[in-house]
Amino acid sequence: MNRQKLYIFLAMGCIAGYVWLVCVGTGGDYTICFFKRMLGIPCPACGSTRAVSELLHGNLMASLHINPNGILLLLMMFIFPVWIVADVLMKADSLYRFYLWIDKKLKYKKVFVTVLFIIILNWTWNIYKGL
Amino acid sequence: MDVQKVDTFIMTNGKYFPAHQVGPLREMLLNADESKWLMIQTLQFKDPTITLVISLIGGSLGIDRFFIGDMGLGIGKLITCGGLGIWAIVDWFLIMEAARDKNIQKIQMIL
Repeated sequence: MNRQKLYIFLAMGCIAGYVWLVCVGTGGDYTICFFKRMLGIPCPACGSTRAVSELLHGNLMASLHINPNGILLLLMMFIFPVWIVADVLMKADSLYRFYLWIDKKLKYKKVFVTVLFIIILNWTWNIYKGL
Repeated sequence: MDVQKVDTFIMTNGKYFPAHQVGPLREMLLNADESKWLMIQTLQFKDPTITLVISLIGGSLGIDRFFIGDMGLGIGKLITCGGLGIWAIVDWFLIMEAARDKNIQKIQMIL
């Protein structure tokens, strides 16, 4: 995963995210989750689209209630494109180094287990909410 | 290193590495000294087939990426629900080669 591949990947991801928001905004089935379709229970990211939608309408509390993930995703969708363009224009690699730093930190068991624990907590809440 | 040892290693472990890099790997092993042999023996490689099975079963949760050591991508996959399902499907085709790439990086760090 080198700098170029990462930037292209993130850029495509953000574009896909925006396209997805537009598609969903025009009315459609939200359930693209394999997990939910096959097992019937929501996955940790279920409700993210609805959460991002609420945020774009300015409803922070509603968004947090549906899935806190939404804030994280929207932040990434705002920050990454700007960061990538800045890096490309300045011929820098600060986003790439940030990605490597996150990767390194997650290799520590304590960090990884903590993040996983938070995700599982959110997942349990999702199931409880019956998303 | 000893030709026989190297060839045995390549025969048993060749499938863990990208096909086009098995040749250069063999050269690197032949040129390496015996002291590296012990370290190489302790290496654990990720089986691409097992990785594919994991990807088919739990791909949308990013478990396949976590398995091969791509923590950042794994979390990304998890919080985007397998990248809107698309990334999960794409990874079914990419993950075996990704596992092999990780394996060759591991052994190249020693050689």
